[in-house]
Amino acid sequence: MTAELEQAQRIVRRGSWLIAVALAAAAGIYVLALAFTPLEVRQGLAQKIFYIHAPAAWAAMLAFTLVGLTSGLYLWLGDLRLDRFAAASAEVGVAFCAVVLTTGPIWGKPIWGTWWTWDARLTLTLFLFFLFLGYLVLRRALHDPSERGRFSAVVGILGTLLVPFIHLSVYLFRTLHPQPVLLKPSAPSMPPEMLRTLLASFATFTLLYLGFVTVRYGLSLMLEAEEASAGA
Amino acid sequence: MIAAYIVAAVIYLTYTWSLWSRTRAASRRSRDPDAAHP
Repeated sequence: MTAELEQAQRIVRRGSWLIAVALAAAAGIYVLALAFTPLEVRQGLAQKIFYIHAPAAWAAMLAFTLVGLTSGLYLWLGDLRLDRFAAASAEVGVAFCAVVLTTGPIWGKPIWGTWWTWDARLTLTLFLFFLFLGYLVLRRALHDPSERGRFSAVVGILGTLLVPFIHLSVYLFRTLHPQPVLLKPSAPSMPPEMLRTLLASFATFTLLYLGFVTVRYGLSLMLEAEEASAGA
Repeated sequence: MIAAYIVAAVIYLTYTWSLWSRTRAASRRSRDPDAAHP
């Protein structure tokens, strides 16, 4: 077994532990949110979607922002580790974005009376999702590592430019989407019991992001080691 | 509301399974390269 493969398997093992801890913590978040966090007066049960929707949105935006940053650094430095990380983060970001785009409408139906509306934030998030799906398809279509790295880095940077627009869309446009309650310049606007659950959820899903990215990075290393040994 | 929790759990567990099966297949191929290319 090559040293690269051993290193990849070590990374995968480390990431697997992170995922296991994060999934156990996520189960705890479910219990905390459903059984030990008070009901919101106006929205009732539907508001509880917030504890899984907002942290998934945070993890997706974190993932896509890091794609842009590492892609820019890859174009500058040419270090393949940066490209590998960008690819891993993009795939994980798409998974989190899928959670955002499916849990949002389940909240929208009882509160807005419709599953979907072409609101600025919803539409931009859907575009972001499709853009990064395209990014992943592009990576599979290109076989030369250098060409794949450069082309996908450009797409990754362009996709990341949407992230600040999505965050600011509730201020820039007339939108139905609720204003931020946590990621805003002023103090969080929610009771302490709800804030505690939300912060725990943010920490849990950030850990899950780290676990997913670590395993996905290790998997890329394994596939590269396999390609190298097949070509040798 | 419970549907949202179930949908999120299904997506996270499916992605975990996808990562697990891909890494398992890659490590199996690395142990037995002939099995991947008969």
